[in-house]
Amino acid sequence: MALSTPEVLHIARLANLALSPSEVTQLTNDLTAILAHIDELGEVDTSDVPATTHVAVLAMPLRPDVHVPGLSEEAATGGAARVVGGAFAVPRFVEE
Amino acid sequence: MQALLDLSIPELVERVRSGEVSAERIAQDSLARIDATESLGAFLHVAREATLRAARSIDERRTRGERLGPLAGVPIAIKDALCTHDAPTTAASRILTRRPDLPLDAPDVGAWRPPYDATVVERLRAADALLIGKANMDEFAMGSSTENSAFLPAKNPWDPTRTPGGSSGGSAVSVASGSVLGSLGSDTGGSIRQPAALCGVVGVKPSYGRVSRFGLLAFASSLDQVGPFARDVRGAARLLEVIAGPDPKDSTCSALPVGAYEKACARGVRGLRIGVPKQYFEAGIEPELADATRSAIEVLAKLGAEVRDVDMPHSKYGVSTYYIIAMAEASTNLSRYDGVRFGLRVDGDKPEIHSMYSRTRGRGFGTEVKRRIMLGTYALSAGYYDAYYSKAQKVRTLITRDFERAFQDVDVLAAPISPFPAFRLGDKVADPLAMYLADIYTLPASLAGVAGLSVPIGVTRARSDRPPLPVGLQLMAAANAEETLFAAAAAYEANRPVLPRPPEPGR
Repeated sequence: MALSTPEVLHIARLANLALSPSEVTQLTNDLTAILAHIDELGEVDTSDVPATTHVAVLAMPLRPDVHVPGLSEEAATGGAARVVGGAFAVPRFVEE
Repeated sequence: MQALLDLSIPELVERVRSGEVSAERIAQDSLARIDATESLGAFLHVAREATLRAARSIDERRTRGERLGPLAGVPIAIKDALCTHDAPTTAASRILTRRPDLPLDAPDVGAWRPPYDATVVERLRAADALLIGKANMDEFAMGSSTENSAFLPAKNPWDPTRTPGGSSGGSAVSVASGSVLGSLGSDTGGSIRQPAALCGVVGVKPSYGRVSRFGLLAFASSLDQVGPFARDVRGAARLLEVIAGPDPKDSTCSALPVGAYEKACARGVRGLRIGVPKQYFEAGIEPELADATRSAIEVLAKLGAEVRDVDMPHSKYGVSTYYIIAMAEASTNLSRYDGVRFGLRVDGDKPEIHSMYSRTRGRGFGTEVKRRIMLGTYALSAGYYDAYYSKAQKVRTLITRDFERAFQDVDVLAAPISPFPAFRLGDKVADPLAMYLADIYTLPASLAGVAGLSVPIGVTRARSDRPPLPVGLQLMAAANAEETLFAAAAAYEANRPVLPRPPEPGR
């Protein structure tokens, strides 16, 4: 199934990706080709097959519920582009 | 090549512990070799001063009579997807730098410095290894050739016009070129086994949950595993013994005790049942590689292993299943790179957060990462979830059942790693699907969460269009049966023909 430009732009919005017009064209073609290959999964009968939702780890561990120190404020915010008053600073995210 | 760096890991450690050689001397040799092979692009960061300091401290502790760790003085490269508190960590992505316009070694580039070490890094330090540098990789481990590194491609030591494979290409090259004795990589769909095969070294993808992932920048959380590279099987076994085992910081890490992997290397293969899945010899494998793989399995048979054919009918759906699941998981894992807590921030065209997110991610991620985030977002989006994501999860169950059934009859599966040897730089970059199909033989084991290993079996015949190139044998065992894997690989290694070495690189 061929993807359309509006569909690709919709996915880019969901994924928070600003794309250039040439990237949109390229991705439209790439995703169409990749999905055409992946459509082969349709030939597998999975009507009575449960989904693998997680990989079982033998002997799932438990640890004692004790308090351990976390990162200091300085270490936690040390990699951020903008910090104000010890907090991550971000642009407005509520419509006025 | 310097003689010290030619030793095996256990041999080198013995000499450091006995005081016959100093860790500082090894560090100097390793750094000199890294400089001499710089054109191969194996490293994104070399920790010169820190390594020399660590080496001197190891030597001082030995002089004081302290017992040194199991990796004393062993130079190790760390894939750049693993957090190191004292060295930049970028996963070869621009989004973990502040200034995407500057080269990575520029003082103001602002590469991310994690506030902690990955658990595996902590364990290597505690074992007295020398963490000499951060290895190049495909951006966020997305690729099979290391050409998706945002900074520079890594090159194959056997032919620098070819890729070393990927995504842990730098980790494989650093070992194959003799700069380090071991390295760590991560394997989500073949990213340790395939570059190990293409570069002629040993690479291990442990069972899902065998090694802690705390401090590994996540790609696909139901698949990612950290594992070692080394020149020989025993060296890889020692590395895995050091890094494996439960970790209170990673609840997906198994509480099962770590096996005696190094000891298992002496076990032999008499009576071991080895299965050969016929589906792995279809799908366009080069005849020479199929023959080499069969000859290697023949060596194991002569050593007393019982070889039989097994049927794994869902193998061929590995690529489609994997790419849906891995990309869906990647699209959610990579949502954390948003310009807020670390790395790049690009201001939006409006003073509003979504605009900042989109521009930061649009500028910071490379082409392949965007492609995978887009595909994953699509596969998880309303209306397509059942057709793609849910379907892939069901086919994953069938692929896992193929393994469960096979491991009722055999102890180890033996198969090729890659349908072809190292391919040319640029050959597959423009065709993402062709690149994905390169992983056809490594993806099923990843989806099933079983253990896998690549051991070199020889080189291809020289042809007019290519020099001799390494070939690897893939061995797979049930989850947590790594000891069996090491036993089979070490027995093969001790009885295989002598392997040539890669040529010296030009500068």
